[in-house]
Amino acid sequence: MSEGEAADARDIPDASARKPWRFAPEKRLRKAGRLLLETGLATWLILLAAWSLIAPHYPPSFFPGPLQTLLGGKEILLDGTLAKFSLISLERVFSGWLLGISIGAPLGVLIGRVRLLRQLIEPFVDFFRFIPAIAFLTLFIMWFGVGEKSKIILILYATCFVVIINTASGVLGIDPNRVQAARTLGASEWQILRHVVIPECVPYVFTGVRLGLGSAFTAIVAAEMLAAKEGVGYLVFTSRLYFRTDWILVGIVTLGLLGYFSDRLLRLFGKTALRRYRIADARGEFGK
Amino acid sequence: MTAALENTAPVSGLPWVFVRENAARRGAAALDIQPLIRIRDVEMRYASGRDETPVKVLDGVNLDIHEGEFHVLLGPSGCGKSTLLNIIAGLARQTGGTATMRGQAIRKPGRERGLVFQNADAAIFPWLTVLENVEFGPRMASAKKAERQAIAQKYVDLVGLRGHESKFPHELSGGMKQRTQIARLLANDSTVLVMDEPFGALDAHTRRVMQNELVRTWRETGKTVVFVTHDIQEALLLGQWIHIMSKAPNARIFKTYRAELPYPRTETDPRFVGLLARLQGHFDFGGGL
Repeated sequence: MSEGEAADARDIPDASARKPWRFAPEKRLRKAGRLLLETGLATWLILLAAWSLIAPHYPPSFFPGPLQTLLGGKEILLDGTLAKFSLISLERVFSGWLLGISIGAPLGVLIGRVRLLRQLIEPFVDFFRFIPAIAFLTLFIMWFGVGEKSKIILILYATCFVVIINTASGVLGIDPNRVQAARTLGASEWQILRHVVIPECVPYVFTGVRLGLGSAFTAIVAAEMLAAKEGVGYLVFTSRLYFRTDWILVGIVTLGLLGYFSDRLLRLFGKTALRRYRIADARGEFGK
Repeated sequence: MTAALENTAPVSGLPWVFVRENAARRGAAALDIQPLIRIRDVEMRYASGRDETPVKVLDGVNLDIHEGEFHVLLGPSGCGKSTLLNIIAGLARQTGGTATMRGQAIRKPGRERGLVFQNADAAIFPWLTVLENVEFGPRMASAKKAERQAIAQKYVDLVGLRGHESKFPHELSGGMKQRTQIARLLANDSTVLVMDEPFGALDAHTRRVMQNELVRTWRETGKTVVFVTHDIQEALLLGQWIHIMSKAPNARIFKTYRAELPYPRTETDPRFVGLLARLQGHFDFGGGL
């Protein structure tokens, strides 16, 4: 009898182990739904569904559906055009962007730290930051030619201001106690700059750098549309001439993906290499 | 009223000696023993408010601090204690009088006068670990890495932070942050620890632990401490010399006590209680303060 009871007791965990086999659709659906929302996949599924529903009402040369776009994408992916154009655009974006950071960040620190420079440069910055980079495109092509130089300078311009403004505001926002603490520990003015001011404004520079990447992508597409023989912007602009609307959509999706993954990489860099600076990440994280 | 108190003679048999503005030290001065820090007739004026009315925060402050002593500046909030502390630290410049260290005028901050801030979050560097924070001073003095790490480790151990070396400040409790600040000054070999209400933001229990730890650290290292507080009990638990400051404007040190109680001090000690009542009396007056 007691043996039988023991066997019953042993049966209980077995029963719970068998639980997943039980038919409970509403629970599993809810779980799947939550997962879809958390990963952001739900948004894309809804968009894709809407696209598939609307597209068939129009001719493919006007608005191709997801399948046609996918096939068009396969076409230029297999012949290497898409990869080549993406790399060219990325190269332009990154070289201009890195140049913009290497000019913007030190300038931002100087503006934040040296009052005279702030008074001299700030009006200039405040004026030019409202002029979009694209407005300078023709001028830059005139001055620097139709080659890579004008495009890289354009991106440099697009990146620079947002980095300057963020860096300067970071430097200006430093708690004076922090600087005084360093001073009472025997740090010279130069050491304060190197060991307190710069680490202190890393999160601000990082925000500027992330925003700058966005402006860089905007600028490069515009530049490639008007003056280029290669690049994703060129693809988007030229496909119209061949009635390849699917390629336009492929180009647009590619731009989104390039930007998205560049930003992801950048944030990963911020989280690992710059971990000690505790960069605030406003958005939720995947796989958290 | 103040004049009457000034004339109070030391009452024998009580465990404290009353002196006015370090009068007892005048003997030392005559023997040409120079104090480590000497504050003479220091006054501080500010332009305050929209109409920039000049306000005299400090008016004729005198203070002698000898090496290895523990001085407490006690006074109500806004009495200019912190201003005086900033003058000693070299972060503010007095508008009148002299402030000297070893005979040299104090003009700017220096590593010999390390400051412990009340707000540790503003003072410790959040991007550095505990050990790296403690290393900061020697690093600024271009000490070799192995050497400065050894120094930092020594003082991390001394303040009881062993095992927390690689933590970042946001992972520390309030008490641990203040320990970090103290270790940082010790590692930097500061002669004077200038402390601005360092335990004001801590909970009662942690504050008590930190007070005992500070006394222990002070006795082990032989540093000179200048400690600002508005807490009478804290002043009595810590200080050898307790300077009572009057209320701003025109604040000055209007009474100095030498608390000759043995360490570690306990609040239940009858001598402690007697002295506490005595000090409390100044604050209850309302007139002088």
